[in-house]
Amino acid sequence: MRTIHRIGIGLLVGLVFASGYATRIQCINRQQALARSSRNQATRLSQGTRVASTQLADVADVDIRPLETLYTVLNRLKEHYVEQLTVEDEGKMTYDAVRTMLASFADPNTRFIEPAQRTVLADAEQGKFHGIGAILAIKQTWKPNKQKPSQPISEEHLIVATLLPNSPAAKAGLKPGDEIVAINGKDVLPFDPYNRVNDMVQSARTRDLPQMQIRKMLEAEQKRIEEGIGMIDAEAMLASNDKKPVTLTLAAKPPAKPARITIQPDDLTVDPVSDVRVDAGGVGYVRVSYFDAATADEFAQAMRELQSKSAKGLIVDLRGATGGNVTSAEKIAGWFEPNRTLAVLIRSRGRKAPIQVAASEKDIWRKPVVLLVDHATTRAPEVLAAGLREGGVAKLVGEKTYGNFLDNTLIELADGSAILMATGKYVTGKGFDYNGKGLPVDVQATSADEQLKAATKLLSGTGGRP
Amino acid sequence: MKTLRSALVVALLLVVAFGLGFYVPDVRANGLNLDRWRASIELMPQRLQTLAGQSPDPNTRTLPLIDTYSDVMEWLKSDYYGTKAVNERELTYDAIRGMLHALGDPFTRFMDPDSYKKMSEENKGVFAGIGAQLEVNKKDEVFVKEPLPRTPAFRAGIKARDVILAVDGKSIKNIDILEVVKKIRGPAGTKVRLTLARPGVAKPFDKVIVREQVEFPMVKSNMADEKAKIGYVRLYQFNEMSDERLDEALTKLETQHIKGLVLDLRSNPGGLLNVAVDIASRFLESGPVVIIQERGGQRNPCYVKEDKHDHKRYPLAVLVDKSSASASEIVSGAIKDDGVGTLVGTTTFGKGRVQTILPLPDLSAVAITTAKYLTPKGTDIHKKGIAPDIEIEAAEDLDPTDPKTDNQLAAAVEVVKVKLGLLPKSALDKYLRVAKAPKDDKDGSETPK
Repeated sequence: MRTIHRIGIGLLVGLVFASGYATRIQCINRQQALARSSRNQATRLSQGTRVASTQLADVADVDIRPLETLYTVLNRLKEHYVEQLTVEDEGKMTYDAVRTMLASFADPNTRFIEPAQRTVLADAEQGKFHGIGAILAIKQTWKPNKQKPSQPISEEHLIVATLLPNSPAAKAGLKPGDEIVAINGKDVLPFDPYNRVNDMVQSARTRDLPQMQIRKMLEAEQKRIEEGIGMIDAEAMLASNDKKPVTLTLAAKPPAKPARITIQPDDLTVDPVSDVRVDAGGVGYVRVSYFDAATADEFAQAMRELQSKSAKGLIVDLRGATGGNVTSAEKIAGWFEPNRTLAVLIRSRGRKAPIQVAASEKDIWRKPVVLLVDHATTRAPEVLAAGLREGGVAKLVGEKTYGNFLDNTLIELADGSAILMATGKYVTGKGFDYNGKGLPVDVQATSADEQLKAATKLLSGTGGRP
Repeated sequence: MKTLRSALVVALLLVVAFGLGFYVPDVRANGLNLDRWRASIELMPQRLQTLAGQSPDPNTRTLPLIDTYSDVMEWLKSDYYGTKAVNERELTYDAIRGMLHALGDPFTRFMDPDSYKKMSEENKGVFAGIGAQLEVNKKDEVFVKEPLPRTPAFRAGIKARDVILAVDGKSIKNIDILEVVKKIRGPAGTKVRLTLARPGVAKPFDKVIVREQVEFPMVKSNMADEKAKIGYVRLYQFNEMSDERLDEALTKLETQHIKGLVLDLRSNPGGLLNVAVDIASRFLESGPVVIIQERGGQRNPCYVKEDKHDHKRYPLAVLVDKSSASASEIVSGAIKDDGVGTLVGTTTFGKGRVQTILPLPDLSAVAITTAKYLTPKGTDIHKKGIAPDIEIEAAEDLDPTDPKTDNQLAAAVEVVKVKLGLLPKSALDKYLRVAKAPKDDKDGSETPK
């Protein structure tokens, strides 16, 4: 009995010894695998850079050293930083690295988007909006730079581009063109805090200024940043799921004083196409308020309805319309002028991509068309309006449009965050560039009533397509 | 009872067996090297953690830095459309600044080649220029605060309060002071023409000055109290020349037979760690000056260097304020813990982290916080600072160029006088009453050495 016990214990001890050894071997394997994967990262990346270089016009432009620098910094941190870095730390570092990189462009259309903001954008693609229900635009102005006259300082302004119909913001009395200068008493910063801190730290390197003076400068700026709210955060806040009331301070429009307005945010679903009707004079009307993925299909439905009611003319109301889906614009244009160039997308390094309208619809609309536009009409609707006007398909009635013909691409990253990047600009088929200028109208009319009247008059006056 | 004992023995046996199994690869690698053995035993929990930790799966939920960076760079290079060119180098520097920002440690920072060069110059203690300290006055004019002694500016007859109107014939109106400084600096041997307006002189006049290697101001010394023979030494920063200059200053003061000393570390942002140890060694008898706590908790004390004991140690007061940081705090912390001097002023900045500067392949560099430092008694002063023994705020109208307005200096002189027995101990009561809490180690610092 005792012998059996002893043998059993001996075996057990042997087994545990072996398992200890096995555990250790596994530890070693794991460590090696980790090391290998980080080495692989390094090789994969240099290949990636090489791939990019083949696309570049100027190959001499490619420089591997920056990457080496970054790689060295990361490794040094992993080895030497006073705290052991965790996977989460690296995640945060990635976010801030990309954020700062993109912020340096001082370009409202090129920026890092956190997962929470990404959902908001994804919902907007589907016509679902949160928050105050206003489409905001970041307008950039330039201020002369005292230190370096060659590099003016970028200042950004948060502007209300469009109000969605029946939105909380519209109900509270917010108007397109209003500039939001503060939210809940926090100043909206006219610069990107990340960028600014960099600039500050760099200029503070010159230690010739008395320490106290540098300190005061930095502290004042730090305070401003801490007490304010960044442009992107502000935009995200006003479009978030949060239902707490927000108080906006609007820039003064002399002689009036800065106005304050409190809005109760709410969820809002926008019907991209609405108000389909034919009036007593036989003029058809359709309102397109948002260009998302569903817009083209809904528009097609509306067109069939109008055709079945045998409308003689057509008013497409694009006032306040926005949205970046140019594919929808292209499909809508298919109803009016197939097989033509709606616009040309100018891309980086001189590349041009014409947007050819496919002949997708059998029943092409050949009767007169008027597009109603105003200063809040922006992005894909502007591209559509410019294309149809140049093609002689439609006349424009209303006011000069906003003037944003830029093309942005949203690149999704693996963890739900994304990168928004300016990737081009639309010009018309004949090469006219209305970006930043706005599209002029054929018949100027200011009030909503006058605009509709002018459009109806224009349509009843002519018998066919001009 | 017996079963329990044998169960314990078996359990122990099993643990030992597991451990032995675990360390087999170490036996192979280390042989009989005991130090390595100790290290590998300490590593056991960390090694086991690698098993529990995340697998090297590329699809982890957080974004890997290098991959994401290179993807973004590739997208930008191939498709970004905008007015600003895609500059890989600048973008990478921005990415590095961003990634360091994420650590939330302001002292872990990136230096581009220009900043790194500038910092190296500062640590060496020399730069090429004319040696005039500039400041902006209320009218937004740039004026000379002080021409540094033994510099081209001083020799050319530039005086304090001269207003600079133009550099090389170009007006500097509305130009930032940092840019003006850049314009005035340049390679040694080259000339710069300044147009100056001097108070009391009707017309502006020009001065042509040849730039040369100029030393940063490091040490200023004089007699704080002629009668009581109390010397005063101000240290502006800790660079490679600082210890030598301090040595010279002390030698000079000794020719005037000082009996006591005030060391002024106010507004001293610090500098090199080894220089701080050198300088503290001049005031301490023995023991550690500072304890460096490495990542992982290992403590390495830096001891007093006895070869720095070439001056007598005097009854000492040290002036500190909220801008005394880093190396200044090493010196004042060591002096306070040892009790060899009395700290006068306000609580110090609170920077208890050591940075190592690592040069990068493209001549830029990165300063990484690599260790904590603790005072000799083992206190971590990070974000807390060192409380002075005698707390006294700077007077509102304190003018750093005029010792008469310096109430903190006056207090420090009184402290030294008490130590010298020239004033009764009660002379300091007025300062202690305003202090927030009585300092327990105050008595120790009162014994003159």
